[in-house]
Amino acid sequence: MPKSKHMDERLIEIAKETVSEKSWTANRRAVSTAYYAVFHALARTCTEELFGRSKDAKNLKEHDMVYRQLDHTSLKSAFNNTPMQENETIKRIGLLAKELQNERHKADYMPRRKLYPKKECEEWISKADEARDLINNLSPPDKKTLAIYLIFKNRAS
Amino acid sequence: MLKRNEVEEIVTSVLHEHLDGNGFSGSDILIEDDFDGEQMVFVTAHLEKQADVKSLVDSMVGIRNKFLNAEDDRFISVRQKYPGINDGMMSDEDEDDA
Repeated sequence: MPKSKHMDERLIEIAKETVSEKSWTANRRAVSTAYYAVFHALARTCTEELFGRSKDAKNLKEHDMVYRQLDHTSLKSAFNNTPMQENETIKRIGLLAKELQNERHKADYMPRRKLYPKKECEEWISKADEARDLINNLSPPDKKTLAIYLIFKNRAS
Repeated sequence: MLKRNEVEEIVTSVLHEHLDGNGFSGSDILIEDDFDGEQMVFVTAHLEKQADVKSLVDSMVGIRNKFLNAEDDRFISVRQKYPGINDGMMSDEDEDDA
């Protein structure tokens, strides 16, 4: 049986499949989906830090509670915490996440504009891909830092 | 918070550092509120040829570092414009269709 994929991996694949030469609307969806790939990669990484990767852990109610602690509006303030700013890789992740988040908002809500030609759309997806790679390849201590400041945001300043 | 001329100085020097190889010729800098009402700095680099994503992100990090050194924690976005970026779109969707 093929190895199952994380949602964020599938979201990036779906974003790539959605890119179009014929539809500005499809390209908006692709950019939005690329952001969600990064968002879910962050939420998954933080949750795995606390619960591990076992199936049993994923079935716990508390697992979902922690996963849902990450919200869109608190991303920016979390990445502006000093330890997050001082870590070069996390800083890079934060900039990409914030940039994509803003673009996601434009893609989903801004009317009457041809926002993303194919090449630009592919660039946003590449940025999301880079952010996911950085998140997935963080060292264990850096994953811990990321999890602490993203999940316990209200007490981390 | 950095003044507009200081922002321009930082952005220009960092983009020269990372994007001269792609024919960097100037940039547009837009300072405006992001979707949740906080100021963000949007930079569009004008290039002769497409830069890779790594160079764009390196530029973003370079600008961010200089901002943080000046105790300015605004986030940055760096995108690029180059000849041919709009090539390949053959849409029949109306521009004015929301």
